[in-house]
Amino acid sequence: MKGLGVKALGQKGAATERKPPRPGRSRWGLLALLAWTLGWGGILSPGEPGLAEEPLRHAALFSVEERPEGILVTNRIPWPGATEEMAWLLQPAASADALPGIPGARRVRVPVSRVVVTSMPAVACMEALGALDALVGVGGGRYCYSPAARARAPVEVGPAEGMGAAFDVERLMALSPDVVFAYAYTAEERAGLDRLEALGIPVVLASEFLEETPLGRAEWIRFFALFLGRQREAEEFFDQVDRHYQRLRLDLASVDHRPRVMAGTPLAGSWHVLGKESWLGLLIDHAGGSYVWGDIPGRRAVYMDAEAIFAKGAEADLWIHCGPWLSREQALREEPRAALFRPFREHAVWNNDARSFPGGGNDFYEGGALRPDRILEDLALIFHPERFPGGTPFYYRPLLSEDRR
Amino acid sequence: MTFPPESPRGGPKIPSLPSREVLSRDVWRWAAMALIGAVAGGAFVLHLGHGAVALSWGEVWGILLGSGQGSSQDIIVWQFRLPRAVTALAAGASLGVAGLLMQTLFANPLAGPYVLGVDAGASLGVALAVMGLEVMGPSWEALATAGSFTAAWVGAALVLLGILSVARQVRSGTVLLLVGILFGFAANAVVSILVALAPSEKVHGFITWSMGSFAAAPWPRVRLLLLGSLGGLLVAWGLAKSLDALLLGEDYAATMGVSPGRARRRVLLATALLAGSAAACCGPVAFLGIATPHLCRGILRTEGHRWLIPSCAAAGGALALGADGLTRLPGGAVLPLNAVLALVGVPVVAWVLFSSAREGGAS
Repeated sequence: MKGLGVKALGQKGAATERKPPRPGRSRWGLLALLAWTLGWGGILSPGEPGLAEEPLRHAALFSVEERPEGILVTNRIPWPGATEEMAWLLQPAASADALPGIPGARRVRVPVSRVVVTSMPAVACMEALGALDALVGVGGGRYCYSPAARARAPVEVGPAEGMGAAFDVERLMALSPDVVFAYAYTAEERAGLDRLEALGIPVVLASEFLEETPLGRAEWIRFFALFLGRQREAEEFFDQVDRHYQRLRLDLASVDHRPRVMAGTPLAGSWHVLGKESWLGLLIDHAGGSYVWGDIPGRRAVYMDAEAIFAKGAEADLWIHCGPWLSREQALREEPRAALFRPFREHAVWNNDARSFPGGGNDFYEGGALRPDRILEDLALIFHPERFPGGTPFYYRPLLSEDRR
Repeated sequence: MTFPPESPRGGPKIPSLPSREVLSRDVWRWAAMALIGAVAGGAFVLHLGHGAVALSWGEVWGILLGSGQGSSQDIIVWQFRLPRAVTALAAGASLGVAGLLMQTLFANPLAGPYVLGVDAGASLGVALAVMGLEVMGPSWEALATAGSFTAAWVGAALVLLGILSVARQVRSGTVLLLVGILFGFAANAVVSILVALAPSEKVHGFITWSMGSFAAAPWPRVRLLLLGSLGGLLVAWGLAKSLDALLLGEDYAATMGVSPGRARRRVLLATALLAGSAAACCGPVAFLGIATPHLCRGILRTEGHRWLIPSCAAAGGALALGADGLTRLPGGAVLPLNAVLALVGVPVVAWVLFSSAREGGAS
C-alpha cells in the first residue's frame, strides 16, 4: 500500500525543519515580528504566528480565537453530556505574567514542555508533531501502542487498571507537568479532574472521540499543537490527511458494487451497534461499502438484540471490527453462533488489531485517530481488493485460525 | 428477623383426617400452582413468538415441528429464541428455588443467592476459570473454558459453606446478612484484581458474562444449565419434607427423624447446583432468588415445601421470561436485564424489610 509520507512529520528532527511561510501569511509574519519587536513577545500567537486562526475544516467541537490576551481555545463539549464548555487561554511563557487573563478561561503558558497524557490519541498527536520529548507521564500506559512513546518510559500516573480519572496524585505532582491532556466520559470523571486543577495542574480535556466525522477527529491534532507550539506541523500533517481522504473518497464514490458490511461483536447477548452517521458508518460508506445497519439513524451506538443482528447480518459479505477476538476458535468459544454468519463461514472477517499488543494498546485507536485516510484506504482495500492489487492493510488483519496466526 | 405476618411460618399441618377447610385450602393451592404453571407456560410460548424479527405464530409452530430447515427463520427460532427462552425458564426456576432453599436454611426472609454472596462466589469461580488460569499460561485456556460451570458450582458451594459455618455460630439474621455481604465484597475484590491483571481479551469474555443476560447462552451452555438445574430441582424436591421439618427448628426436626446435618448438606448441594448453574450460564442475575419465594408464599399462603418448590420453579421461570421480554424494545433495541429485574425486585425486598420492621425489627 502506498504511503503518504505524513508520518515523516512525526520523526525526530522533523519539527525543526520548518518550511518558509506561505505567501498568504507573510503579512501575519511581519505583524508578529513587529509585535515581538515592540516587546509583546509572541502575544498574538505563541507558536506559529497567525496559524492559530487557520480555519478549522472538519472539527466542530473546539474553536480557536486570537485575542489580545493570547489564544483562546474552547472545547464546546468537553465530555459526553457536558452542558458547559471549557476554555484555555494560551499565553507565551515569556510574557504570560504581563498579560491579563480572560474570565472563565484557564491560563496555560505555552509552549508546554512537560506533558502528562491519559488519552492515547494525544500521544499519537505528540508523536506526529515531533513533540514526544515533552511526554513525561502517562495514565493507562498499558494501552499505549506507540513504540516511540513506550521507549521514553514515561511515568505511569494512572490507576492499576489504566483507565479512568483516578490518578496517582503524588506521582503526578512530582512530575510538575505544565499540562495534563486528559479525557472524561462522565461528569464524575470530570469532577475528579477538578482535584488536579485545585492543586494547580492545568488539565486540558480533549473530546475528539465525540466528533461526528473521522476527519473531525483527526483535526484535533491542531488542538494539541496549539499547546505544544507546533501549529505549522499540525497544519501540514492534517492537510495531507484531509487531501488523501478526500481523494480516496472521490475515487470510491463511483464503485459499481458495494459489499454489505457488518461490524461489532456481541456483549452479553446483545450487540453494540453504531448508527449510519457514526464515524464507522461514514468510513464504511466512504470506502465503498454498504453498512448493513445503515437504517439506524444518527451516530450514537445502540444495543441491539442478537436476533435483529442476525436478521440483517447473516448474509453480509464482510464482517469488520470483531473486537477482542484474536482467532476463529476464540470467537466460536465465546459465541458459537458466529458461525451462522456468512462472513464468518467464508473467512471474510477482519479485525482492526494488526498493530496491537496482547492485552494492551491498539494503534487503530491511537495513531488511527489521526489517520482516517489510512483507515479508509484499508477498508477500501478490504472491500475492493481488485483496486489495490498486492496491497496489505495497515491496521486490519483477517481473523484466522489459531494455527495460522 | 421474623417472617412477615402475611406469610406466617408454622410449618405444614399434617392432619390425621382432612377437614373441609384443609381440603378447600389444598384445592386453592392446586389451582394457584396450576395457574402459576400456566403463566410460565404462556410466558414461554409468548417468548418464542415475540422477537425483533416478525414471525407469525404459524411460522414459529411450523419451524418447531421441523419445516423450513436451514432458513433464516429456522435459525432465528432454534438458535436464538429457543435457547434464550429455555435459559430464562431454567435460570428463573433455579434461582427461585435456590432462594427458597436459602431462606429456609438460614431462617431468613432476605436470604437469596445474590444477597448472600453466592452469586459473587460463583462469579469468582468463573473469573478464575476464565481469567485466572489464563494469567498462568495460555495452555490452560481450554481447561478454563470447559470448567466455568464447575468453577461456578464450587464457588457458590464454598460461599454457602462459609455462611453456613457462620450461621451455626451466630443466630442473628442481620449479622448473617452482613456476613453474606462481606463474602460478596471479598469475592468481588479478588475478581477486580483478576480483571486488573488479565489480558483485555480475557476481560471482555468475563465482562460479557458478568453483565447478566439470558440471551448470551448458546446451546452447549444451555444444556449444562438444564443439567445443573434439573439435578438441583430433583435434590430440592427430595428434601421437601426435611425442609418443612427444619422450619420448626433443628431439635424438632431431629425428633421427626430428620438429620439436620445431612439435610443441610443436601440443601447446600442443591443450592450450589441451582445458583451456580444459573450464574455460570447467565452471569449474576439479581432479585429473582429473593423475590420469587415471597411471591409464592403470598399466593399459596403456605410454608410447605411440596407446594413452594414447584411453585417457585414455575414462578421464577415466569418472572425471568417476563423480565427478559421487557428488556426487548421495539426495533431490536435492548435494555439491561438486571435493571429490569431490579425494578421488579426492589419493591418486593422493600416490602419484606418494612414488614419485618413492623414485626419488631431484625432479630
